[in-house]
Amino acid sequence: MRIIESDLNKLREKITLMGQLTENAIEHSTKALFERDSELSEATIKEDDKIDKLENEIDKLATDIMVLRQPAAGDLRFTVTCLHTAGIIERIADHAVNIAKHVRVLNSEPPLKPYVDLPKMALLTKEMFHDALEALIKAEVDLARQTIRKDDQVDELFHLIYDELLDIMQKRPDSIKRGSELLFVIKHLERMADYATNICEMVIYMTEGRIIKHTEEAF
Amino acid sequence: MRKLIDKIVFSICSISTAIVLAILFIIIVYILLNGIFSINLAFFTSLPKPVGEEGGGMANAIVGSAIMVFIASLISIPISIGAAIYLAEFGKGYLATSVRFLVDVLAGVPSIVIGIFIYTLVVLPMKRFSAIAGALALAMIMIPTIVRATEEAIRLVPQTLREAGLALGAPYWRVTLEIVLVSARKAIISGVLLSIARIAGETAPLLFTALGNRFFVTVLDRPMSSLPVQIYSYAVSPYEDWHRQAWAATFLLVMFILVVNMSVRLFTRAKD
Amino acid sequence: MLTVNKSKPVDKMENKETQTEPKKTELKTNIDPEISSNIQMEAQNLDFFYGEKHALHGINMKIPEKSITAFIGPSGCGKSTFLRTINRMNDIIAGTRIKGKLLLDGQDIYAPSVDVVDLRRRVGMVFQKSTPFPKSIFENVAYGIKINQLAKSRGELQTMVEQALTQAALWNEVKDRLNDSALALSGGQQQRLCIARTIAVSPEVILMDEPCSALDPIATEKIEELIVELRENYTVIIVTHNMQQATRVSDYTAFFLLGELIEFDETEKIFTSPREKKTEDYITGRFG
Repeated sequence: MRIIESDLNKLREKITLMGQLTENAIEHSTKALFERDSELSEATIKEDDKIDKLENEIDKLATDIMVLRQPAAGDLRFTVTCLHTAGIIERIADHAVNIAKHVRVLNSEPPLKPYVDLPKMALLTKEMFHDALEALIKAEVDLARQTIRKDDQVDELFHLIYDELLDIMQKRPDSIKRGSELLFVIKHLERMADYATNICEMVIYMTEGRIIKHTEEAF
Repeated sequence: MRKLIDKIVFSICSISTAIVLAILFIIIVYILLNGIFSINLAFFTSLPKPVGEEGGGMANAIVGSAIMVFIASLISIPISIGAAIYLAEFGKGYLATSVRFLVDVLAGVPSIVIGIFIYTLVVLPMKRFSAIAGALALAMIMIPTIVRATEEAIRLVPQTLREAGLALGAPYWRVTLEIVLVSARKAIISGVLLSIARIAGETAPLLFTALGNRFFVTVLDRPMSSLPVQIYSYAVSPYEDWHRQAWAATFLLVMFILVVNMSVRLFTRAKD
Repeated sequence: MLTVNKSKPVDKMENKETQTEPKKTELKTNIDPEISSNIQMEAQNLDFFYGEKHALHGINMKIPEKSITAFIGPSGCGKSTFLRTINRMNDIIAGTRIKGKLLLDGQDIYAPSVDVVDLRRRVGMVFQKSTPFPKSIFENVAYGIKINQLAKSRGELQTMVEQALTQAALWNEVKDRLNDSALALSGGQQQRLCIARTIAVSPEVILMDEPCSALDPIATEKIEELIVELRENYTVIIVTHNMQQATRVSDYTAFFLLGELIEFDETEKIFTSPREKKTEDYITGRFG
């Protein structure tokens, strides 16, 4: 086996673990919101330390691979992708933590209304992240492309819920506090979906060697 | 057991080496002891005295040997180096193989046969023994030695050195003369010197060609005296004083060969 | 064996053909990098044979002037053979044969009218092992100038020797001992002397056959710096087994395998995202 192979496998394992923990964080923070489970939200906030630590480990491992193994071509692109993606995942996890913090405030007040579109949006975002991660680990460029397309649906839901919340807040001044908390929540979800899109773009770079972000180029 | 065999083999080798060294040592010491007391100024400056008279020297033989060795070198060196360049640089086909074979055969021909050959080819038509015939015989002995030494030396010049010359836009003949030969010069000169050392002591080919002469001669179409022939004729004579002079000549010859061999050693070791 | 897998799709990477790259590869081989400057050297369907052995298969390649191109590939892949066709150094090997064209400045160097000696002046070569002539440092550099009668006077010769040694970053180290034997120099100095000797006859192209493989890292670095500087005035083609060296010095990289040119592109592209699976396998150490 090539010497670099075991290092790359280690890198793949770490990024998988980091992804799973982050997926859990999204799952738990949204579940805490919908089920008004404060304990779960606190646990989510605590779990984030592990994710931060993993990011540092991945940074170090990727740097070591570059200097010690001098990867080229596919190996190089995988290493760069992991280095970059670890940073993105860490930010997604931070958004999940932020949602959990908003849940803290929301749970101290009665529910504003039954959630209809919000769970859809949360599910979609979680799916996007899950698929982005799977595309990365399995180098499935088609899955990455499909996932990028889903971002539009998330954006659509964002605007729908945004308008709805604005409407409620205009009508009922007592809802402003809860309404603006929820506005933050949907903004966090929307950002997470954007980041999942970024991961997919990295997957396209990793598999095809083309950089498509910040370009008009069709993916 | 293994150690024992090791020791036995080592002992056999040591003893063989000792025997070889001892023989060489005995010869040199014997010649030295006999020669050093026989040599005197007259040996270098005088001509041989008539039979029965004491004294005299071998001035004619010393000069005669020098002349014939010099002429032989003059003839053989250009021919041999030319042939060696051909063999090493272009010698690939049937012709080259034949030439190489003939050179090997020539190297193995007994020197007396070469003497007879020149006798038939030069002495008989000229109806006279001569220095030039002697030099030709010596040259024929030198040729195979120099050819093989030079060919080996040229072959050892790395191919990339030739290519480096060609890559600068030098034609092949200039690369061969100015780079290849110059690179191989040490080994070539060594080969030449060793062949000179060898022919300086050759007797047989000179017996039929240069013959020998009691007088001081420098013209090439007359019989000429030489050290080995002189040693031969003095050594087989019944006179005590001639035996002494033969020892002196032997001493001189051995010293010459020794000095040439040692200078080759020093020369090949020296850095550029 | 000859023509397979040149046009075979390479899994997912083939999709992008529709995107950025303009139409290419009308000829059966290789993708050319986009070249904006003049073409110095061009091979057209070049085949090469050592007797019966078919050593190069249909090489098509355009090398731009004043650039550094690296040839990489496993031993016996034909990269050195191809390099040596460019100054016809293979001519001196008996039984070699060439087909196709090799153009230097648009002129076929294998045309009967071409003077090989003059061609070799225009296409210099530096070898794996440094090859100083058994002459003085000065005479080593002066040799090519004298052979080609490039200097009109003794003074001009001296100036040209100094210039060449300066360009090869060797002048300061040897200016006080120009008459010493070149064999007394260190390995790295000898190699720079060989480069100076090559530069001295003002070639257009300089071929280098693994010029650093016998040198320590410091000497290697000096030669590499020198190679990069040479790009100002010369077209440099370098055969190397050291892929890091190819990435450090070259603008373009060509990958050879079993006598075929598998891929030729900008070095950065070859080492980050090669198009061909074989290239990827080689540079990531999966074989070779």
